[in-house]
Amino acid sequence: MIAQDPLFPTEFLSRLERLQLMARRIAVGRDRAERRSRRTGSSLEFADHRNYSAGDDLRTIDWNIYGRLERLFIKLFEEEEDLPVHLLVDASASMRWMPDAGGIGPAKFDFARRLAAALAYIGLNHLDRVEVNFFSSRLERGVGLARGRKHFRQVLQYLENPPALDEANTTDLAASMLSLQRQARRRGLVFVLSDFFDPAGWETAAARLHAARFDVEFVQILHPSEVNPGLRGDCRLTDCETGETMEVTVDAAISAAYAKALEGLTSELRDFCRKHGHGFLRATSDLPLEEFVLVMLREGGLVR
Amino acid sequence: MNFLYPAGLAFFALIPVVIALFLLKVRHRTASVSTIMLWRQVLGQHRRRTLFQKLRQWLSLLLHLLILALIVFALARPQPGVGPLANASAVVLVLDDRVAMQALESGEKSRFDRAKSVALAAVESAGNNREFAVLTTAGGGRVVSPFSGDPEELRTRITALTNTDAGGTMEGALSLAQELAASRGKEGAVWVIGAGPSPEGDLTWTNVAQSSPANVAITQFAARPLPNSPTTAAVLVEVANFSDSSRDGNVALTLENRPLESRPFSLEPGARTTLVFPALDTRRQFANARSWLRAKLDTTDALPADDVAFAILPENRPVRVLLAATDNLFLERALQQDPGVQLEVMENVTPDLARGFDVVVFDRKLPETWPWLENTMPPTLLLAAAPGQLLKSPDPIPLPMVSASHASHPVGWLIDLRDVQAPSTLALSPPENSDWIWTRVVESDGTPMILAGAAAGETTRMVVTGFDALQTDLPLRVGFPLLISNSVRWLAGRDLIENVAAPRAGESFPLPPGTELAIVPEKEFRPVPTREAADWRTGGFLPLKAGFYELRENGNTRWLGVSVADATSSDLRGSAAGPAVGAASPKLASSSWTAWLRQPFWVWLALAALVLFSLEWWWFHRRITE
Repeated sequence: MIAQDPLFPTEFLSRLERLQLMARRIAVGRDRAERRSRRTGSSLEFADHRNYSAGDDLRTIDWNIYGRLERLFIKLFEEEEDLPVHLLVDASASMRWMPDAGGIGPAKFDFARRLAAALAYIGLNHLDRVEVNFFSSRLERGVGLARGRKHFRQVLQYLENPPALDEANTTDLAASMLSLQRQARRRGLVFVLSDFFDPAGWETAAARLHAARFDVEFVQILHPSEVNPGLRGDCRLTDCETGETMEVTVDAAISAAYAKALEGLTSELRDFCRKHGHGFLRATSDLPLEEFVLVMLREGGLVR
Repeated sequence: MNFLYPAGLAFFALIPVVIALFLLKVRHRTASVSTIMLWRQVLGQHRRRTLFQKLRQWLSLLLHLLILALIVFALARPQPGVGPLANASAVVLVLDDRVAMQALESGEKSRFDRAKSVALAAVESAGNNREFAVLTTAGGGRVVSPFSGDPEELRTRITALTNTDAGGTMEGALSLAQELAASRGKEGAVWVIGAGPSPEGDLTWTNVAQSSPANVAITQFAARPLPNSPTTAAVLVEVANFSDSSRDGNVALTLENRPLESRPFSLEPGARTTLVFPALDTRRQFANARSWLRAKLDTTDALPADDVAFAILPENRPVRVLLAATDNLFLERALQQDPGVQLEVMENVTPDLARGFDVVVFDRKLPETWPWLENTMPPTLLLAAAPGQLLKSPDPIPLPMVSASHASHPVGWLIDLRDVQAPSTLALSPPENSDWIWTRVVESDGTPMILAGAAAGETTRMVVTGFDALQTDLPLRVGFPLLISNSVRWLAGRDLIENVAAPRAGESFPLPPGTELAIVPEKEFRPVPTREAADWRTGGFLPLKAGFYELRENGNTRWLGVSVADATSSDLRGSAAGPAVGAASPKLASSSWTAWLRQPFWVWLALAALVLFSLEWWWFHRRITE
């Protein structure tokens, strides 16, 4: 249970209330909310002046300017709208993987679900429309875009009941993002919480999201045993998703090469995000969620 | 290649077990990972390394099998081929321990040390199916160890061997070795380890000589009384140069450890010179004088043992003779005229009385009681009389004619009796089945006219003449006093002492009756140590070391000088002419640390197994356990 977990205490929730999700682009909302819109509207934030034309609301005429210039101008105010937030949580087997010996920290999947819950709470608290979806080889049916804190309980229930592993085993980022692109009627902010261990690569999926003008925040979640496998000698490795095996004799050189390969995957992802104006953060599952959300997400500009 | 324990090879049956254990061992550690995508990428970049890792598995198995093979071979105790002796199960190992083997060539090791090393390496192959007997060559051959298959015992005995100062040949030892080998039939073989050219015969020869070093030696050293002056003696020293260059030096002569004189010498290659030192007073200067004479060269060469020689200044002690006859003036006068005889004349002589004399002489009359042919009998000269044991017939043989004489016997030395006409002679006949050794000094048609006998072990002696000299013209001839003098000196054992006045090491000699010789020589002039009964020899002695030997005779102490003085042994030239033949000879080590390398072959196999084991662990297991 995410809400009752000691790592997700009420105090933490109250601190989350002071945060707001940051969108790098101004998205188009449907309802009035607390987020700036490109459209002018009825908020208290002054946006601009324009000449009066017939039919305009006389209440918007700036009488001070008329007094000085004897011309009619009306004041335009910014429109504040809600923000569509899509939280995509990788539910593949690799995210639920734990090393044979147990290892340090929780599974990546647990960390991802808690992070998704935290982000959803932040969004709902600021009247954003939040949608949460699991994905693996496909995009699962999730909690549709909804707003309001009352909606948070529904989000939690969804996160606490992920699809069974036998139904969602492998990772297919491209297919899942394509499904999102087709299903999403409104563009907005997308959080992809995954390890990005997709044999077909993450590039296609990222390109689709970018092309669809989503404001994407990639959060790569790794287990400490993936960063430092601690394997030595002759090993027969089994892929937890595909069941494939391979024999490898791990020595210091092979370990270093593995670390380099993992760092290469992360670097490529980070470079893509920097190049296309998206956000990227990497976390290990043993990291305290509070620290990650309150410090690292803020430093990374994902929340404020 | 032979195996001492071929049954050990049965352990090769463990090979399938090792393979099975290996296959169990190489089972991979299984590990589940979130993705093998990254690992595949890594292995793609390290393809060569991956290939090597796969090969390393098989290399590990190969090392396992190799380790097993080495251990099994070590258990089977392989023996490297011993050349022509590979099939011999009984090897007689003959070590030349004569003085020439003391030669120092390279480093501090002598030839004998190297010969011992070869022998020690050889006996490592001793075991259930190979035995070794060990002989040494000095003094005609000595069995150091009978046939034994115990390497430890053989090692102990060979290690305890020391070089002797003996010269001479190896013939006696080789004969003994051939006999020993023949006792084992076709399985027996003889392996001789020495220096110089290979001796003839059916044997394997290993020459340990590495070079032919130069040597200067004393080849003769003797002190003889001057015939015209019994109280003086002349000392003769012969020095030889057995090298290819001229050598200069000095010969220093000492008496009783006091320097007497030093003479220079200069010798061309291969030359020898004789130095005669002036007459020395042989009279003892003090009661306990030892009369030690020592000649020493101041040269430095490969064989120090022959640079010094030992001799005794001859002693002028008369033979005490008891003549038990008063009616033979010729005989009495002949004895009185002999300057080396102290004569006493008595008529009634008892054995107890006679034991105070060196020789007892009876003329034509025999005593009433006498221990004839017993070891307690005093040395006796019988003229024209003989006890019944020596008579074939009581009747004399008329008109004997001298048909043969034994001139080399000390009694017959320089005596010619061929034209002596005697009316008769006793029918002498040496008794058979006796412990005595008889020599027919003069005989007539098979009948001895003069008979000389010595008891076994030289405890006493006896000379018998069968004819009456007074009935011939012999007393008027020079031969009569010579015969008497020869007989008296031989009976007193003076021939032994004189002959061994400058004996050589390695030559055996009999001891005079009543004398005993200390078996350990002295070289330093120091107080004589207390000796146990086992430290003395009687009857005969074979000195193998040079030095001064203590001789006790009737309570009196005398000394005997034994030297190397053997030109054949001192000539080291050409000793390395022949190669170290005999494939049996292991490679000889010349330094002490390489001696450690001469370990049994199985030890090297075990060490190799250990090294491979460590290597295998380093390459394979360490990676898993780190």
